Amino acid sequence: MKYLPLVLRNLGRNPTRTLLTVAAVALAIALIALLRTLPDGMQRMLNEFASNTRIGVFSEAGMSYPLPYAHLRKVAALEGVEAVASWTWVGGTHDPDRGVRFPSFAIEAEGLAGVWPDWAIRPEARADFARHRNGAIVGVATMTREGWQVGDLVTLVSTALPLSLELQIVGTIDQPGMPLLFVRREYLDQALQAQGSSLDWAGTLWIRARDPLVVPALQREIEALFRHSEASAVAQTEKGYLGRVFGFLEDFLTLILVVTALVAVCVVFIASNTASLAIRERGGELAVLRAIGFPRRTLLGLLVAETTLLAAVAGVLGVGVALGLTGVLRASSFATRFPPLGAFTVDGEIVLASLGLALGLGVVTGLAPAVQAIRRAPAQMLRELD
Amino acid sequence: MPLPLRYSTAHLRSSPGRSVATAAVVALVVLATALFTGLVSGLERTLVATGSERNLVVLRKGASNDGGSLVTLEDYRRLRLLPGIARDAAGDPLVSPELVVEPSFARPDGRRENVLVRGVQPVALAVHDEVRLSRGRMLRPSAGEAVVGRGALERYGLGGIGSTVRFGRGAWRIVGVFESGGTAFESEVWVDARELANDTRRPQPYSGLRIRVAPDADPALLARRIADDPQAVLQAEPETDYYEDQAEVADALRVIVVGLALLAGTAAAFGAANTLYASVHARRREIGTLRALGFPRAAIRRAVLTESLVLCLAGFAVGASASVGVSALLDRWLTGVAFEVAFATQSVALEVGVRDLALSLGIVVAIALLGGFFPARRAARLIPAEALRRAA
Repeated sequence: MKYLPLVLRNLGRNPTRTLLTVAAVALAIALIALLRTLPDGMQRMLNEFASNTRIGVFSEAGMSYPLPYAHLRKVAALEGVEAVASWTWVGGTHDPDRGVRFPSFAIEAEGLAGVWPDWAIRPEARADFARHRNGAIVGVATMTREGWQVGDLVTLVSTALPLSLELQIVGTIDQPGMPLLFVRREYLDQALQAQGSSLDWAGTLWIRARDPLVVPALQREIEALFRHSEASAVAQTEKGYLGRVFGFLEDFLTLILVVTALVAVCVVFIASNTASLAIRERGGELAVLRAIGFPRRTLLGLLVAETTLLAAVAGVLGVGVALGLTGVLRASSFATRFPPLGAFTVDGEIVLASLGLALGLGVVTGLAPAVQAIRRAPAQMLRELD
Repeated sequence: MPLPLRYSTAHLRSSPGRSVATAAVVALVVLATALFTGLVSGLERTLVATGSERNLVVLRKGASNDGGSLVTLEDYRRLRLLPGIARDAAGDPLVSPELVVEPSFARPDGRRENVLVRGVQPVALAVHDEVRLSRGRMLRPSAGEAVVGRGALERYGLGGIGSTVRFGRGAWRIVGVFESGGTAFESEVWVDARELANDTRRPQPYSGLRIRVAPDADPALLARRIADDPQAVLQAEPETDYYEDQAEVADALRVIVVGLALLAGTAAAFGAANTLYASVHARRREIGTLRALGFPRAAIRRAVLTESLVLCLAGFAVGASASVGVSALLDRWLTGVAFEVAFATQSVALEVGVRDLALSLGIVVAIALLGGFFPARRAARLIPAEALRRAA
């Protein structure tokens, strides 16, 4: 610790270089942290929204293929099933000129209560949804985006079915970023019946299992149950289901990882370049220090402390820049255009990883030239001075 | 009198390690930027280039894509009779009724993806004139036949002509392979519309229509006529606009690329400035001598800037060639980069083109000038007498 003033003095002797290096490394660290938020946003969504007791069941042919509604009753009868629900795509919009701007599904009122007791929906809203045939429950993201209030009357024009629904918004789902809009399945069915058809299919079936331990067995049982029916089905945990919905992002995330790694290599080059510059030109001085009796270990410690301190300051600054940038990005409309990657949250893990990278960088880039410099005999180094 | 170019390059060689490290940073920035822009331009090439201005996409009003749209048989029959639609040699209107669904396909590695399967009638080939059969023949209606896009064939390992492709509940025999010059159609599989409707148990056979506008008719007029039709709730837009809307994700990516290039480029410029400052510092005496000999400040400044440019351009050369190689490798490894466009997987070729490299070159020149400017100014401002004395 008593050498700290010396380390600081050494850093201060070429302020331009120190500033440039700190800025360069900080920017690169910020970029790495920023890029890391993209795959992290995906993981975060999987962890936050997925429960380990819910199972999603969809047609083996693909998620856009319907399942017979009769499947729901068969699933509900299975041992270990606490509650069931079905989602059916409505593809609704309240303004056909602007197109479909949020996902809308038909669901059973008791299903929403039974399968998603964990969602932030007020009990009165749940009760109103069960009471009013034309009720709708809407995610906060869509409420904000469309400027709706609870109690508003909305006409939802379906693009997937030849009908429109008159709805009253009875409540909201207060999960951050939640875009979904739910209408009552009964209501959609009646609208179809008025046209002489009926709702005998569903898109996805959802199940809440009694406890996580029975989930794997239930998945197998459900798949076996429908294997030889007219529509065989895939049963996945909620995490697996979401992972599959967003599976197409995997390739893109691979590319992001490649680019992140490239930037990380970049920082190594920048930092090691500076370290070697700073240490190389100080050869004479090091020789003098050695000659007057400073042990090698102390000098090595001094040099490495210098590069590490530099890198640590850069790391803290870089994390600060990343936090600021993500704040701006989150506030902009950009984030909503890029779900689920656009969460742009620099969490503790990313902060720690970035600071760790910076510290490691400081030690490693300082060590190599420092070892090289002090290994040489002081007499030799002194002789080389002009 | 300017200093010769060799003066600048000789200095780079005198401290090779430092020069290589600085050039490497520039190379890495070029590589990262070029990979990203290559992807964005790939997306644009694939989506924005898809479709014809002479084709109208007819969907249910409010639907943003075929996946969430529905057109009834009556709509189709009525629209066929509208004026301003091109006709084939037999005099039939070039209206292609289509059903788009997104069943899941397995990749050779076992991962599953939704693929755009288009149910068509033979007229589809005449309407989508950018689609050409490169092998085999067009499918016959109600014969359990499929034609597949070149990209889909590779990505999902579908075999070739004569193989069976399974999706949904059924199986289809491949009778042809089509190409469309790298546009979105190549990721698709086409089968008979009626068979596909049966397979999905869809009550209405079509999700949308594609209409070829007659050569002497105005597409906008026809589109308005369709939108104003009182019986149907349909909308029509040029096919090119439709695909441009689907390319929305490309805009978001572009923002990321610009941000990436700005941050990484600035960091690289700072790194280059560091190297050049050191280089200028190490030869104060030499610069002092040159100034004493009568070389003007501008010559010194230009020499340092040239040094910066040479350094960065060397980095660019390495980074650019690496990006071409790395993108080709990544593209091979991933068989194109997948994007979900309207619920179906769209595979985009990751290819670094001339435009992407030109952009990187621009960034590199900016790095060189930004990184070289202040060191050059410092060098030019050295006072000859002082520089000679201090360095002694």
